[in-house]
Amino acid sequence: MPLFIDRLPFQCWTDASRSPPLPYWNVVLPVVVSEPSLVSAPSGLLAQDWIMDTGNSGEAFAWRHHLTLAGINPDLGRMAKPMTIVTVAGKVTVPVRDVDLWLVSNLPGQPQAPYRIVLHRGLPFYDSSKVPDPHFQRPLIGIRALRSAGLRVDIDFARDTISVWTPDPVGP
Amino acid sequence: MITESLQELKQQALAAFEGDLPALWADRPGQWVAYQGRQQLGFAIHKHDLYQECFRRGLKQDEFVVFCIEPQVTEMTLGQVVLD
Repeated sequence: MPLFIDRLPFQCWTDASRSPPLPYWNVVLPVVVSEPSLVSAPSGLLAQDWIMDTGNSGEAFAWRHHLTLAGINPDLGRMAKPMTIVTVAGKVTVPVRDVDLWLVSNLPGQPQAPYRIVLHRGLPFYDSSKVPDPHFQRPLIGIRALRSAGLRVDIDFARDTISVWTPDPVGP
Repeated sequence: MITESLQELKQQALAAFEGDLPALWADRPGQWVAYQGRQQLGFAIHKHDLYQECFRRGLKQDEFVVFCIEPQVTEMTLGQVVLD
């Protein structure tokens, strides 16, 4: 399996309002969101940091803001069936936008094309005009999407890095 | 097409797909299927190929729905995330 992301550091931020200040870490992956109809990898689009969330029982989740930021119209291309989201605060039903995700390599030298992660059920998103909290309301990529993409992931908690390998290319 | 009729088409597509799913799952697990209303438009191995095929037929994005032929996830648990 070819290496695709090499020892990408965890994202760390510190809540300075706490005394003493409290650090947080997130395992993030650089991801581009695109329309689901693209034949090849998008270019020149903004990669966003998506939190790798193995506790997420679905494929992925985001806020309306993250779709808009990616240049996707959240009001078009909606799936016919909404998704029920279960959180500590209860259940809420949210719309689902069909999109694909593309993982972006951090390897130096010859740039590799982004790797497509197909969302089978689209992207459920919290449909609020409010800008989400930059630390606690981040886009999430869940275990179903990682499994269906066939990725190999190495999370190194000794060095606070994540590495990702993509499946071997399929022969002709 | 106006928004209400597009929404109605999507709901018809969903109802047709849900009715067809057991047989589709037996015959074409993991493939993709497209519907316009109750009409089944076709199948593909890759989702983007099916979109392109529907565009080639002159359909616009919101005039058809693409489904993956697999058990349907209808609920997602996010645990500690606070949505609002």
